[in-house]
Amino acid sequence: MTDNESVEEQSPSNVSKRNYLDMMRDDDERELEKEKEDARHHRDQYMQFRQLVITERFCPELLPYEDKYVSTFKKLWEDQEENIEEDWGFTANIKRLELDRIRYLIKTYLRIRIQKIEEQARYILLEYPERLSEEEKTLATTFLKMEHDTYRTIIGEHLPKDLASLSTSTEKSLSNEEVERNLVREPKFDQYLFGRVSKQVTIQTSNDENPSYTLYPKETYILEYENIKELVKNHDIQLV
Amino acid sequence: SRTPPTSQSPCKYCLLTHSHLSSSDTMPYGEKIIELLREVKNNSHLPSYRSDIMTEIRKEMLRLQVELETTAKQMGLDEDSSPASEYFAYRLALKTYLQRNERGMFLYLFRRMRMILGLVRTGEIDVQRIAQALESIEGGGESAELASSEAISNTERYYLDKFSLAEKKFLTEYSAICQEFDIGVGVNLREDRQPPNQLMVEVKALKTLGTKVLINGRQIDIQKDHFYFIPRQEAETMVGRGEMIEVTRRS
Repeated sequence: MTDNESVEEQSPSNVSKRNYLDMMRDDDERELEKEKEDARHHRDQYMQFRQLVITERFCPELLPYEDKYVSTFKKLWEDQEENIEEDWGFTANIKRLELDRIRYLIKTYLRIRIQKIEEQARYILLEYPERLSEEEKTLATTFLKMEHDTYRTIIGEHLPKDLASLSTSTEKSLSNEEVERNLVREPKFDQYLFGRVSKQVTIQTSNDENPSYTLYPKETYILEYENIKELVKNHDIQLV
Repeated sequence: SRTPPTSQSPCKYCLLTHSHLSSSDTMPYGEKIIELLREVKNNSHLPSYRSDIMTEIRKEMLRLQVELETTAKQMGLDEDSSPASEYFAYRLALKTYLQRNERGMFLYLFRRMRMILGLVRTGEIDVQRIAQALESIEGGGESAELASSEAISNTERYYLDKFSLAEKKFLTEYSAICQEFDIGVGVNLREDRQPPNQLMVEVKALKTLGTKVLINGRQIDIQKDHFYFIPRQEAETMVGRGEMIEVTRRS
């Protein structure tokens, strides 16, 4: 570098240009870092949501609705779809496949929940209606009423008049609430499931021989659902 | 199995002649309901709704009720006869048959409902297409039959004949609540039933549909028995309607 050049580099306009370029580079790096951070965050959220869907699939009862994940991914999917709508190039196709997977995951989650609601509607509305979203609550109450009316119509057609109600002849002495209670189909809490723990937990059982036992992280166990209900609900145990 | 009483020979359990019974009552009580329940237990496919057997079971239940009342009157018994009475066992048997028929009917309807909902969940029948077909048939008009035959697939047409009237009404209402749910949540749960492992799929057209513009902007002329490579989303809808079939090649 000659003296002339060093003088030129150190002139006020060149210093400001250099600072400006440095600033631009820093901004680019910061933006890239932020995008990487967002991508990492979304990937972690996706893996968490995927595990939640698997847990919901194997759990015999309905778990609380994960509105946080569903609404986040729905928004992501809608935004990304707008970006790649007209583009059918190679990169856009890869993104489209990823979106299809997210969409499939959300729909699978909703379908699993709807199936449980249809099978256990009465029980869910009696025991824990707070686990349903607003749309699911409407679906459960309407579905229950529809099912009730369908049985009543067919039964009324085929049963003799004084037997044509949803209570059997042995239940005629019971009150309406007691008859309703008898019609409730409960989930099977006594089944054994495969579960993996994320942190060390101690489980209390009703067994006198083994009143409690400890589960260690990253191990897979066969567990009775009755003993791990709360842990599954709090995501301390993931079902596999 | 015991021989049921006839109008000529007295019943060996209560020594009464049952003149109110007709000569066609040869099947023992409680057998028809078992036959009905076996149909829905063993079949992996939904059987037709047996309203004929349901009607026979109703007649049987009416006979059982009449039998109970007649026995009580003839013996001068109250509704709750003492267990020490020699007719207690007979009356208990009649009541048990009555309850079994009643519970059996509920179970039959319950199992059918579960099978129908299973068909909807697996996507074998599209509940909204079925509901539209049923509405067009009810609406009448010359083109009702034609409209329903083009709108639904062969599988759906096959199952449509097996539903009872109450079940058809249930499906129409069920489609409405599913649609309401889809709008509320903002997704279409009738799509994306299979995990997406490829973006484009190869399909064979089962019908001639003419020119169609796909979601990627490409225009294709769909002719029967021709092969096409189209986006998976588009293919899913057309395969579901029975217009195309996916081609799977094994190496």
